Amino acid sequence: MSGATSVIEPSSTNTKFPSGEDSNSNGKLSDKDHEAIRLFEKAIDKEALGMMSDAVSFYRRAFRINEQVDILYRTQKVPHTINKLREEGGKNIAKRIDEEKVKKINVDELIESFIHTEAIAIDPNNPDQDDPNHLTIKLVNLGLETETIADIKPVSPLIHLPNEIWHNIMEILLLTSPESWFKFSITCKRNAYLGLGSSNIWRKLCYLVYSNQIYEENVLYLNARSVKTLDDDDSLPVPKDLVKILPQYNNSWKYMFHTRPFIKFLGCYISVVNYYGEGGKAEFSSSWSNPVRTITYYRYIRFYPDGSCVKVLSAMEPSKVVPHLSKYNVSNSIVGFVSDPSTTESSTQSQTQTQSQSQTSTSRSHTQQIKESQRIYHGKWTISTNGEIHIIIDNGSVPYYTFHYNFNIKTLGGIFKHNKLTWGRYYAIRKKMSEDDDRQGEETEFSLKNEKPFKFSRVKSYRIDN
Amino acid sequence: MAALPPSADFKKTWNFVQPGLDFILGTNDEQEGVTAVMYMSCYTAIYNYCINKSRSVSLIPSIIGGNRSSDSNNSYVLPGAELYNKLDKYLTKVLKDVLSEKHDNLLEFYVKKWTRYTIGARYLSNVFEYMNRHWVQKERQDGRRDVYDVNTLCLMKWREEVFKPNEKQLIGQVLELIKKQRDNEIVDTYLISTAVKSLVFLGIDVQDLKKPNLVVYINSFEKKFLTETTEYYQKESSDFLAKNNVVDYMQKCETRLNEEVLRSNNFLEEHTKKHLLETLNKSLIEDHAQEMHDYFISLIKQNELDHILRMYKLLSRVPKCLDPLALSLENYIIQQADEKFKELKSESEKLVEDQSKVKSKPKRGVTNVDTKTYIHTLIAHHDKYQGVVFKAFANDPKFIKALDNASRHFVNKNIIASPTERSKCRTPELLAKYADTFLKKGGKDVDTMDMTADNLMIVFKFLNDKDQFENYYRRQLAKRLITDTSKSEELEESLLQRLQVENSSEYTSKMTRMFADMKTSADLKSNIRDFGPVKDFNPLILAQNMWPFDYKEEYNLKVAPQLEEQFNKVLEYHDNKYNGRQLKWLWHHGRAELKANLSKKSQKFTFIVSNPQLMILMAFNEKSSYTFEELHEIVGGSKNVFEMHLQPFVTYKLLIQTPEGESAMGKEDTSFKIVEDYKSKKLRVNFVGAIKSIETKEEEDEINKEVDETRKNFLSACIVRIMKSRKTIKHNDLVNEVLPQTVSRFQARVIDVKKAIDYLIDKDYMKRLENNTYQYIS
Amino acid sequence: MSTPKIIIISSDEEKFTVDQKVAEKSGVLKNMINDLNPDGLTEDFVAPTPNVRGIVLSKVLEWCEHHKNTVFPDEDDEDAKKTAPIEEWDRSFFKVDQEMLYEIILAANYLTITPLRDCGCKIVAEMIKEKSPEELRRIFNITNDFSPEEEAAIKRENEWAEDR
Repeated sequence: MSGATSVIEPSSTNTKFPSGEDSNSNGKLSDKDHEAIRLFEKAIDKEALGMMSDAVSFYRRAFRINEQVDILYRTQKVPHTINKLREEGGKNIAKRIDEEKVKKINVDELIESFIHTEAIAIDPNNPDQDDPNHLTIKLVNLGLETETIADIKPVSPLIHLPNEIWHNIMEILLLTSPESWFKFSITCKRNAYLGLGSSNIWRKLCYLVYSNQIYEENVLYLNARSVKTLDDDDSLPVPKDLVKILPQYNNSWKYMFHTRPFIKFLGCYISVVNYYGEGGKAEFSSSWSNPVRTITYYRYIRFYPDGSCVKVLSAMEPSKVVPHLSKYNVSNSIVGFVSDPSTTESSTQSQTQTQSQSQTSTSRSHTQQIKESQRIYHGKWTISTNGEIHIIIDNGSVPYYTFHYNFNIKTLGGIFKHNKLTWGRYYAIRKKMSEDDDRQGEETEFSLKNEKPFKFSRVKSYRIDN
Repeated sequence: MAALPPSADFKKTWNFVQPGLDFILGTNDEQEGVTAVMYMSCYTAIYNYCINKSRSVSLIPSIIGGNRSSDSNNSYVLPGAELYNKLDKYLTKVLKDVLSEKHDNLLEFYVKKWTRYTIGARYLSNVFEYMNRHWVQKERQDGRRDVYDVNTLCLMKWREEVFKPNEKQLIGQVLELIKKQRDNEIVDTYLISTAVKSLVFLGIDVQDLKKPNLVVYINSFEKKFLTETTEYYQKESSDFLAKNNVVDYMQKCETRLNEEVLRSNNFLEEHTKKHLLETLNKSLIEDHAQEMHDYFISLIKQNELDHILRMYKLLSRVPKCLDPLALSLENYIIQQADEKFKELKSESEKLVEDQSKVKSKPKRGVTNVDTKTYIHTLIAHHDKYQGVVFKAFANDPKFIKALDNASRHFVNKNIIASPTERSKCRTPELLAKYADTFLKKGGKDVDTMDMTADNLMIVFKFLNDKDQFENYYRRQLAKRLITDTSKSEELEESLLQRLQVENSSEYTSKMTRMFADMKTSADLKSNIRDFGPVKDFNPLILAQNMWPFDYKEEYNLKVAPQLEEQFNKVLEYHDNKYNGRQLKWLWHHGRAELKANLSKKSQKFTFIVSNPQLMILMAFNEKSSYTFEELHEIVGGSKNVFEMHLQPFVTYKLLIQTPEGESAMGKEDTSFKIVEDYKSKKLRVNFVGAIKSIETKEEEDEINKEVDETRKNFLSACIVRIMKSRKTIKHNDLVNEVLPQTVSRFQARVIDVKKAIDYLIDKDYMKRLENNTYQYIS
Repeated sequence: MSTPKIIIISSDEEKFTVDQKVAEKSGVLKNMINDLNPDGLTEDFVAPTPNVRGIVLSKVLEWCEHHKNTVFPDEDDEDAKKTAPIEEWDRSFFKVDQEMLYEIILAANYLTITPLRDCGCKIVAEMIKEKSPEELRRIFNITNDFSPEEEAAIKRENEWAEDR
């Protein structure tokens, strides 16, 4: 499942790196082997990011040091990783899973069947509760020779709070820490029923998500109307009151959430493009052929619920770009991020920024110094009811063009719903550059040959308003 | 109270709470109140049941794809639904029991039970709070529209079980009470207001329970109420009018309207007020507007302004009913004006007859009414009705407009201004004359005291032919200026300013220029003062098109040698200052004073003479006798003019004509000799007055000619302006655009516009296309 | 005559005499006091709370007393209320064992003291935040009773929903 949805959090430490204690248990390894494993891990990281050429180069260096670095890695590192995962995820994490069985499960029915399931307390005496950590504790407690049964502590009384209360707690989690909502829901059957089995949860998710979508149909409707007030929701083509459209989704909030596309805000969409390009010959090279090398670049888009979005096209990898990808980044650059707003320059700029919001350009003199590949472009987005995204960037890299992007929201790998944006069209329309500009409105279509779909990556530091 | 029931046992729970619910809803006859223990026990038992359910039973059986609300025979039991359904059934039974109680008067019974029930329903909702807040709310948020909070459920049950089956009788009783109240019987209004208010509570929008919904109130009550109101007042007003006069009726209406407003404030919803007023306005006012209109004339004849105000206020509730009233007023003012002017005419004719029976009758139809009397009559008539509009119509714009229309009519069309249908309106001329009277020097203060610019402006506002007024006024102004007979420069200028504000600066541009010329001439005078024999030489330099004076060839005089230098100095000075402008002397204007040494008693005479006369007398400084031909040769000008100006000298015996006689006057060799010893009682002798004038008639023609010419130019300019911007335009559209533009000057007729169009086509400014369309030629 | 008081009686017959203002922090008590005394209180009013033990009731009333002048925002903006940080005083008020936390939340729920209930819920939510499933199981002392396949299936179908 790796790589399908990656959580990018540059500030958090990479858990795959061995910590100091491990080196003791791996005393047999030479420093060279450690170096080989380090490079091998780096290669894996790069590969996960889609930076194939870098990955290949690290793999090569690792194998050059030790031909069997892959075996070394698996024997030395994987067990540790699994242990770590088990500690976080529980007994089932490292188990072999019968895919056929999984496919046969109807999850809704399964969760439904947990209605009357009570939470079971951890019983140190029950061998079925196959938990290595607790086993250890048990052994320590018991000593070696006795057969006395340890006291079974009951489950926490909090588990017995009424469902109404738990729903309230779940909603708090949904709002403040969505990952925790799911982690709690996966702890046991009863909690799965609480966290995933009630319409309350899915209704809440629907309201959180769909209320923030900018529907193209509504935008067109409101633009066409002379009085731009939202006094009657009833007349909007896409109603704000979700109960009105609930019948279209079999009266099921979960079904709506699963099937009705939406743009996500708590992360960004990244498209990784790899292609082979001819490298230039060195100046006095006598080589007959040009070296071929892979070129990797990234497209980044982050959306905001006010209908604005930011876009970056850069060869810089996500961990360097993502932290700076914000419409509130006054420098408009993914490298020149002004972190201290007290400096005079940035404070005047932030004034310009607030006045002109997203679309209009900020102070020219500054932005022109930004390298094209580091520049954050501001655009507007809409979604249509059938999941087509339309992004318009007025002040793009070419002054006389307005850039248009059409994407479709798709499900990634059949599992990660609404996580992928596939390309529909990419074109530009000539702006009016002078009073009688007869080229105004000309369309230029761009090739999608090299383009790759975007994937959504959750970024924990992102809120809908930062 | 007994110990709380086991929370898992529904039946025991219900049996536990039901006696408490009976108390809360007041269905048992005991009058004692609900106790805190009872209240909390019910709440707790229900809470415990809900909590227990929520812990062990699913909140929603199927997450995906269950279309629950459509299928009532679900095999599963919704948690919470059990309690809800039981409550639903319980309420049905409670209300059925209520209805089965014996009662004499349905309305009284309904109101009593409703009052108690709604209090109970509120308690009940609080006791079932936990179910309301969780189960009900969740069901509604998931789209179920047939589940309500307990208070709403109580109301829905009441609507079904109590209200619906008794609706007809109940509403009938309410309306009957209202009718009784209208008939001035004393009724229990609490019954009406409570029953009506209950309908508001019973209107429930199942989509949004918080949204007020008047559907029950409107359909069950309001519609019938309005119908009955209409019927009641249709009958009452017809009956009343059959026996009483309109004034009494209007007073009755006021009372009724006040009563109804009070009633609607007391127990009707805001929604009804508008409809009720419409209903009342229709049956009380609109339906009887004709009667009121008919009565209006007799009221205004008697100057019953209070009653008219009452009528105005009533009718203004139905704005369209005011229009005929405004029209009546307009016609009345016009008709009164007609009578007034007929009266004025006969009075002044009588006066004229009395004064001068001897003299021949004035021209047929034309009456010489005193200008001041005429203008003041116009103003008095206007002012009188302005007062009426203020007092009886609250200065309603509709009636101000009616007064304006009427004033415009009688100012421009009355028997004095235009004695026959087709005769031209004399008001502009008379108004100009009126102005001249009080602007001119020499009038008696007593006569001109009450003649003011304010009066002038009132009439001016209503003049159709403002251009004509301008013409007359300008001519008189010109005379005042060149003869220096203006009473006050300040007054002149302020009046000019007011005309400009009222109309436009274009309108007064010529007159403004005239004042400017006068100022320039004053400069000139001070500069050429010291050249030549003429003391107090006062030449005026006047721009040709601004002043109503034309150069006349027949006054082509020769300047006497003694004066030549001084006259040339004027030309010289002028040429220096204004290069390229041509000066012509207007000899037919201007006066001269001569000192004459023609008395043996060494008396010095002062002769006031015209310019030709000046030249004639100057010649006699050289020689004491001339033949007609000789003298004419010296003086210049046409023979007629020369003879006209010569005549007074002969008549007043300054010159001795040989041979005598009128017929010999113009003969070439008739000689004229100046007397040596002039005999006159007065030392100042005016020879100008005796010049036979032929100008009066001429002037009127001139004015008409000038006005016509200006109008033609004005229309042409209008048309060209429109054509320039439209390029092509239909005939009718063009006419419709031109006409309003002329209003500030005159009332153009379509025929005038057509003439102007033809003229422009002739001149190739535009051409005629097919379909009655014109095209602009640039 | 002194201002009438509310005498609240716990399930174990303990009596607590409080100001009306304090008692009315509870929606249920407030409704009852108003329903049963539509013209206002003239004498002390006895209110039984058969679901709450004295020891819990005393804790709950401590909270009500502390917050008797606090104005809590209306129900309207649920999300803002749920994401607002916990006040320092409340945080130390809730420094109790899980058993007591449970009882306080339950009592607040029963008595409809919504801000107290919400605050308790936030305390529980904070216990859950940033923890792995296994840590959570330890905290609440619950067993993972899924089969590996069940767990995998549930994850596949639902885990993506945390991204939005």
